Amino acid sequence: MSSAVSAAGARPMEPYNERIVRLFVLATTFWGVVAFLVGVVIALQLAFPIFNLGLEWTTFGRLRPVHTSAAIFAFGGNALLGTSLYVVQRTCRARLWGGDAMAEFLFWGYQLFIVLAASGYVLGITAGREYAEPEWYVDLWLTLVWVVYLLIFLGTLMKRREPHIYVANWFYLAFIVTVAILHIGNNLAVPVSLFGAKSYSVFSGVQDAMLQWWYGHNAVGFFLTAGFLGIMYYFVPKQANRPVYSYRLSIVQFWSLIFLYIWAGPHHLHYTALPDWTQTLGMTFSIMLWMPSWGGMINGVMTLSGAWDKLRTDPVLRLLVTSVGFYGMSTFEGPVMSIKAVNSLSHYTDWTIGHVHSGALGWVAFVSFGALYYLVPVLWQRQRLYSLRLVEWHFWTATFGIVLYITAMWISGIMQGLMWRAYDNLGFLQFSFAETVAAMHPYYVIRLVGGVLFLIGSLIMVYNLWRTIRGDVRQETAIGGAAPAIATARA
Amino acid sequence: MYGLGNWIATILLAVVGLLGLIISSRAADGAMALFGGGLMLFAILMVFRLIANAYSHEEKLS
Amino acid sequence: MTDLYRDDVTGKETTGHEWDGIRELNTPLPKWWLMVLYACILWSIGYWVVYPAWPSLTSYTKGVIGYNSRADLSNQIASAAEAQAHWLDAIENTSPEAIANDPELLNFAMAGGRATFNENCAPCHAVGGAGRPGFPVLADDEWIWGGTLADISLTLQHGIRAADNADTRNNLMPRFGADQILDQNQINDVAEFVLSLGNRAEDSAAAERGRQLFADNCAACHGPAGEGVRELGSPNLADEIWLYGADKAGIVAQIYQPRMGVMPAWGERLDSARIKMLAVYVHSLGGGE
Repeated sequence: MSSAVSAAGARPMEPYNERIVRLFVLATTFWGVVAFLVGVVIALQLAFPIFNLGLEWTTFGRLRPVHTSAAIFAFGGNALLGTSLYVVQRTCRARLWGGDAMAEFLFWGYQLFIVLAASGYVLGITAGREYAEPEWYVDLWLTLVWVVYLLIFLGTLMKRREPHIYVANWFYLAFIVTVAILHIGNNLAVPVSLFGAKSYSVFSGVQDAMLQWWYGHNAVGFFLTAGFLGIMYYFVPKQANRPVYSYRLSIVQFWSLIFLYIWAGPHHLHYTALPDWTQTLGMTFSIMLWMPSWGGMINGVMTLSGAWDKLRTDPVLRLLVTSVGFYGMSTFEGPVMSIKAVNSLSHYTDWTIGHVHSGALGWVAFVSFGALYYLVPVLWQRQRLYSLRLVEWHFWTATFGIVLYITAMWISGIMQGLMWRAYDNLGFLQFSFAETVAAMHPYYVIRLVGGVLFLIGSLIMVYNLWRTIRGDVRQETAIGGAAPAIATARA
Repeated sequence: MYGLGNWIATILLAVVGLLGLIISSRAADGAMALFGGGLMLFAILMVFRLIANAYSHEEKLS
Repeated sequence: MTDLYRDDVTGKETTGHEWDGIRELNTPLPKWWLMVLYACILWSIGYWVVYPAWPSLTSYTKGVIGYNSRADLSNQIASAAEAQAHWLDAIENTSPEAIANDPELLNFAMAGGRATFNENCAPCHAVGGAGRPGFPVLADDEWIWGGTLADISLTLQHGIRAADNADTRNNLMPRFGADQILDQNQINDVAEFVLSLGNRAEDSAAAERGRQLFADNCAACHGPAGEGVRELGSPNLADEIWLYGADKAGIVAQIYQPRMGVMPAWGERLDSARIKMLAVYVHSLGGGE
C-alpha cells in the first residue's frame, strides 16, 4: 500500500484503528481451530458412535450446532468483521466511526454472543432452528451488537475521504444489512416468560419451514458469499498487486447476486408440503443465480491476468485463487442440486454435506486463510511471514483434506440416494435404512481423515502466524526460484 | 472526543451490567441466570478494559 | 482522483478510481457470461409457463401442463399399489401354510417379508434374524414361544409383553433375589444346578444343594429337567442357547432380578398381508417347524 500512497504524492497516512483488527484476526484464528476440531470430533462420532461418550453434553446432537456455528459465525464472522473494518478504513481513508470504545464493544460483544450461543448448545438450550439455534435473549444481544457494527461501518463510509465507495464495501454492506433482516425475521419468537430461556417461533407449519430456509439459504448467500466476496475483492487485487479485472462485471454481479439470492431458499424444501409454485420459484431463481455467482469467480481469477507467474511463487495468492476456484465449483454444484430431478436424489443425503463443505472449506476458509496471511505481517508491522514454505504445506495439506472430504461425501451421498430409491422387481424396497447407514461407514472414515488433514493444516497456519507475530523470519530458499520478496513489497 | 466516547460507552455498559443483574436475580431458569451473570461480568470487564485503554492512550500522548 | 490510467500489462483502461492502491480495469462484461445468464433467465421463464410458478393474492399460475406434485405422488403410490395388488390380495386370502406350499406366492412373500423384516425387525433381531444380546436368534431351532407358522404369526400379531394388547404373549419370572425369595447362597446353588444341566457345574456340591431349590422354585415353569415349556414361554435351560448371558454371572443376575424383553404387537402397525409375509420369511430363516 505504501507504494501507491507515496506515488499519489503527499497523502498523509491515516491513523487507522488497527488494534481492533488485530483482535479480530486473533479471534478468527482461535475460533477457526475450535470449529475444525469440533468438526473432527463429530465426524469421529458419525463413524464410531462410541465417541458420543454417553454424556448428554457430548452427543452429536449437541456438538453439531457447536461445529456449524463455530465455523460460520465464530470463524467466518470474526473474519468478516475484522477484514471489513480493515478494508473500510483503508479504502475510505477514514478511521472507524464511533471511536475506539464502540469498536471495542463490537469485538467483545460479538465474542460474548459466541460463548453464550455455544455454551447454550452444549447445555441443551436451543431454539431448534438450524444455524439459528440460540434462544431469544442471545438473539437480542446479537441484534444489539449487529446494530453497533452497522453504525460503525456506515459511519465510516459516510466520513470517507474517497469520492467513490469501493466494491468490497458494497458487498460488506449488503452482508451486514441483509444478515440483520434475516436474523430478525427468522428469530421472531415469543418467550414463555420474560425471564425464562425458552421461546416459541411466531410462525408454524410450512410457513415456519419456509422462513427458516429463507434464512438458512441466505445465511449462505449473504454471510458466506456476499461478505466473503468483499474479502476477495480487496485481498486478491492486493496480494496479486493487479487491478480488479472488470468494474462493470463487479456492478452487474453485485446487483444480480443480491437480487436473486434472496429468492432461492425454497430449493431446500423440494417435495415437501411447500406449495409447488414456491418450489418452482426457488429452483428457477437458483438456476439464474449461477452466472451472477460466476461473475465473482471471473473477477477474482482474471484479476491475475498479467500476474499468473505469481501463482508459482506465492502460496498465499495460490490459497486465494484456489478459494475462488472452489467458489466457482460449489456455485455450479448448488444450482444443479436445486433442480428438482437432481434434488430428489441428493436431498437428505451426504451429497448436501459434501456440497456445503466444498463451499465452507474450499471457499470460505481458504479465502479467510489468505486474508489472515496477508493481514498478520501488515498489522504487526513485520517484514514478511515467518515462512512461505509452511504456507505451502498448509495449502497442500488442507487441499488434500478437502478433496478427501468432498469426494467421500459425493460417493456416500449418491450411493445413499440410490439405495433409498432402489426397488426389486416385485416392488419392494431393496435396502432397509439400517443397511444404507452401514454402507456409508467407510466414507465416514475417509471424511474423518480429510477433516483431520484440514485441522492439521490450520495448526500449521497458527504456528506460522504466531512466529510471524513474534517477529521471527525463517531462512529458506524461495518457492519457485524467486526472491522471497512478495510480502516485503507491500510492507 | 476520545474522552467523550469513552464516557458514553461506560454509561451504556453500566446500564447493560445493571440489566444483567436484574435478569440474573429474576431468572426463571438456570440458562437465564447464567445469561444475566454473563452480561454483568461482560460489562464490568469491558469498563476495566476501557479504563486501561484510556490510560495507555494518555501515556502515548505524553 | 480520476487520473486516466492505462494498465501496463494488459493495455486496458482503468476506470480512473483508486482505493488504497487498488484500481479497476474497464473490461466489458464477458460475452459468454452474459449469454449464459440470458439463457438461464429464458429457461426460467419457460419453466414458469409450464409449471406452477407465480402467486396472486388468492391463487397461483397453474402452468400449462397442469402439474401438481401432490397428484403426482398419489398417482405413483397408486400405481405401485396396483402393481402389487394381485399378489397382496392372494396372500390376504391364503393361510401361511398354503403360501409356503405355493412356489409363486412363496417367492413374493419372501421378498416382501425380507423387506418388511429389514425395515422393522432387523434393528433388534439383526439382518437374517441373527439376533443380538437380549434379542433372540430367529434362525435357529430354539423357540421360546413356538416356531410353527401359527406360533410365529401369533407372536408377530400380538407381540410379547406388549403394552395395551390384550392377546399379547405374557409371562413373568419372579425377582428371586430382589424380592428376597431366595438368599445369596441359595441363588448361587440354583445357578450351579442350572449350569449342571448343561454339564457345566463348577461346584458339584453346590449344584446338588440347588437341585431341591430348583424343583421347588423353578421347575413349575421351566420343567423338572429345565427343558422349558413353550406354552408358558419359559426358555430351555439345558441347552447352550442363552438370551442374557451363558456364564454364571449372567445366570445369577437373571435369577436375582430377571430381564424380560418386550416385542411390539406388529398387528397394530402392519397389515395382515405383511404379517403373513413376515411369518413365512421368519419361518424360512432356518428354524421353522
